[in-house]
Amino acid sequence: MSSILEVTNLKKYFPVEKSFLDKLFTSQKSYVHAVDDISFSMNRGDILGIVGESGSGKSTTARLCLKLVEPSSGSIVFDGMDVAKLGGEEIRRFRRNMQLIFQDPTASLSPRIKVGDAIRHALSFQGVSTPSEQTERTRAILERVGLKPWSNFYNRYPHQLSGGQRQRVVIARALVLNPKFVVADEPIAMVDVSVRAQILELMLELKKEFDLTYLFITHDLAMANYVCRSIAIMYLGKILETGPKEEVFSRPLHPYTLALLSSIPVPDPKAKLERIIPKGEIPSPINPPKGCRFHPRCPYAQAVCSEREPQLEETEPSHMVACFFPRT
Amino acid sequence: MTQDETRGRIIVQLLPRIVSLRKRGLAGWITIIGLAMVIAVVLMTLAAPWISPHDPNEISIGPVLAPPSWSFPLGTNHMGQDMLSRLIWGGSTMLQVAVFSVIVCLVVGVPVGLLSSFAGGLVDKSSSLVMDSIYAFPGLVLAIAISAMLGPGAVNMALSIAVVYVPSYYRIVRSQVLTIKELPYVEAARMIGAPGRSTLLRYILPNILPSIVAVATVNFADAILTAAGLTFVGLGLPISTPDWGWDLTYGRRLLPSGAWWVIAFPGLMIVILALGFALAGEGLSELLNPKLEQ
Amino acid sequence: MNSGESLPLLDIESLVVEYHTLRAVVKAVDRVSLSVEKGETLGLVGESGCGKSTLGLSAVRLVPSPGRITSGSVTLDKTDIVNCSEGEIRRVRGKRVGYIFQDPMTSLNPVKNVGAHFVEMIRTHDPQISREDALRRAQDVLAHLGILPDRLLDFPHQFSGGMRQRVMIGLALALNPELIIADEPTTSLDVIVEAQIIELLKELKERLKLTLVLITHNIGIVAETADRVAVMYAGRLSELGETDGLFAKPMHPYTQALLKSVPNITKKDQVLSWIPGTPPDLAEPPPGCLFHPRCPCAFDRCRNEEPQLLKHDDTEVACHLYDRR
Repeated sequence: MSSILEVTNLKKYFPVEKSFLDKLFTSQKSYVHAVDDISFSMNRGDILGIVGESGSGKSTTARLCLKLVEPSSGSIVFDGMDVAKLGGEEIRRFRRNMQLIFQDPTASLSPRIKVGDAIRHALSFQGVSTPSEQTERTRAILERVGLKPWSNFYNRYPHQLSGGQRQRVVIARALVLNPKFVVADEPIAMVDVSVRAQILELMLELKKEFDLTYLFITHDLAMANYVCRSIAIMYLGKILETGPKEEVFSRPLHPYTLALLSSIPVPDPKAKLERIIPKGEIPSPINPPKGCRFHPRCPYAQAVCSEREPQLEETEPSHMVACFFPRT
Repeated sequence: MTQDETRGRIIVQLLPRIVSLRKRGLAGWITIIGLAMVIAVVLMTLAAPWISPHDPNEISIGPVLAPPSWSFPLGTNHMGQDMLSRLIWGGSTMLQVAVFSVIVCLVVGVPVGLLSSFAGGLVDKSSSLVMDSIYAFPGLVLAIAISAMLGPGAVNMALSIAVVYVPSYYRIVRSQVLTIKELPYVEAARMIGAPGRSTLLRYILPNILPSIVAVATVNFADAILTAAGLTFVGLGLPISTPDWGWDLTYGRRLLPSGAWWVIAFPGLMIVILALGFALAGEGLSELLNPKLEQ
Repeated sequence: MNSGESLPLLDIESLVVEYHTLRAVVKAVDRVSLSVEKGETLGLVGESGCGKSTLGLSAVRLVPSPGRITSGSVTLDKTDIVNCSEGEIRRVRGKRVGYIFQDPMTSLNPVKNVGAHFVEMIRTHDPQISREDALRRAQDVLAHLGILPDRLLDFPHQFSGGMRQRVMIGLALALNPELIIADEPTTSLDVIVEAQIIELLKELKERLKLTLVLITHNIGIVAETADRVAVMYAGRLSELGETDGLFAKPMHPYTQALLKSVPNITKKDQVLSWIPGTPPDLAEPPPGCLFHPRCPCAFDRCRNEEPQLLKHDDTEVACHLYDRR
């Protein structure tokens, strides 16, 4: 199994706009610690789900991998190539290998471009084959994502399609270039409940057919459980736990993972819910807590948790957790 | 094609242009009323060669300073010229000046706005500075200053008006681009490898066109008023052209002697034309901003 | 279900709400009848466009134009919501019915602090109350919700998402309303905060004996908090019954399919299914049952005749499969 993505000590700090008075009197800059020293790797064919709430840094991580955002420090090696070294034109060509499926199917399609053209643009911008071949490939991918017959959809505008259909167009656009690696940012969050599984199944079929590797970004643990093979839990810019899905979701080690799992509403009125709800809310990523980021809210926190930051350690095979007192 | 043929063609194309705007609610009605006013005036001007009873320039076609009567429904001015004919012909130059200035504004303001806000950084900051400085001047004052520098003539008048109003276009385009630049579909264009030029022209520009149309329409109103103002102060058209602006000038001087009709009717036409454009523009900007309804 | 002895607090009878758009007249709510008893929690579920939000808004006559209630009735404990006067309906909103909107950020006025929101609300309904008394009432309410009194001076943007939603809940509760309608109260919130709010609602329901209509597309929340569930599809009510019964034995094919498409993390090796096709275009609805084009059990009658909502044991269901007439 070959490694397709190696992320090492990745950091992204966004400078915070200060008010005029603050700029005058303090020279200290403050930063949003969006991604704060994370490392993980993916092999070809993996389906990794990065799970977290708002402020966890999961979306920023995705955008760093796609080179939509430049890292503050750390390295991203994609298919053996150091992504940081890529310059202008190289980045454009690099995009053929990695694509993004967006969260909002309506906002990620220009309202004034026909759906078929939106897909075909990917081919024409990358200078792939001839115009007639581009049209052929676009038609083929439209049908492959379930928008059959293509003639019913090619010349439509996004607002003429349903939410689920739009998301298929977004998927088609991402895949028409045959990328090796696809990042899916909350791909079904804005799709109707009764159609979500269909989109997920489509993505899994396409994975087999095109030999894809997926990186899912989501806050929906149930979805991650359904479709991902391995999970990484992020909180305030850090990875707290990672491992195979079965491990992380059935034998969670980190108190935060436990809290997340117990918080999910279960569609079964008879289910007994033992909720472990941490107190308070997610602190601001501008001034994250010292030591373990989760300690102020953790029901099991002890003195050491506020002094030192736990590192990711393997407690069980492939199952890593960053906690001084994992819940074994 | 002679001028008359051109006019004829424009009439034929303008007439069936009433879109089923009445179904679009209040905004639709406002747009219809505005467009109706504008179209009425434009048609009148275009049809001038056929409907004007007399030659507007002919002196002493009637008694001097005669009040409205059956033979001269809008009266005559101090040179014995028929006011009705002058009214019908008078809008022509003004409209052409307005159209020309709007075209110049579009050709200059929109591309500069697009490029500067897309590029960002120093380019954006410096062009904003220039545009804001121009914008800070009261329109008519600036137009007078530029017009005085350029000299008389319809083209120069159009240019000076254009200079005054380019910043409006620039600002609208810029604010729209800054918003749209952050939208997911622009990020998506980047993801599929769109070069900057394509992103701007194919993803951003089509989505700001509605705002440009709205600005241009309201801007017509401003251009009309400024054109009238320029002629009023004597900077602009040669005196031999029948023009509402000139009639305003004479009319003002003749007012003390009781000849209200010389200033009133041209003034009214200017108001109708400007108001028509303003209403149409307001209505259009309401309609073209898609409001998400079920 | 309805014990028949006491009148329901909220009684909706054959309600029709139409939107008059350019293209056509769209029936966002099509002859929906349901009732809510005092003290119960009714979950109103459905996907986007099914009309559940519109139904909630009609209970306080806040359907935005071009929508209009065109027929049917809404009765809140003897008050005719549809036909009462402006003054009457203003007394209903806030005082008799508390509304929790989906997005707390846009529902709160950014230039007013939280205390001012409460004062304005309380004093609109009772001008006699002094500002101090109104603020004290606000402090009481917010204390129940875990918000400290000194936060009354803060502005909406100074609160986090979950706290803002608590403020919204507080505003809804401030005047001790008879009924609370919550429209997607947790949709914009993070997982853990969502759980906090659900636990809070459950606790308030117990303590204050709230009557609650919970409008959401999240089946999980409904399973946890609702006593009865009403399922809407394309503006019509397809099934209405007790929560336990509906989840254990869903009757309407739509309900069955919907429940099978929701992931349950406690179930190992779950196979999710979905509903093929798309919801109908309400501007040009299909004849007969609106769900028939996507229904695995559809037969001839479904294509021609609209099913009526009929009682079947303890559940009401609108499906020809159960209509032996």
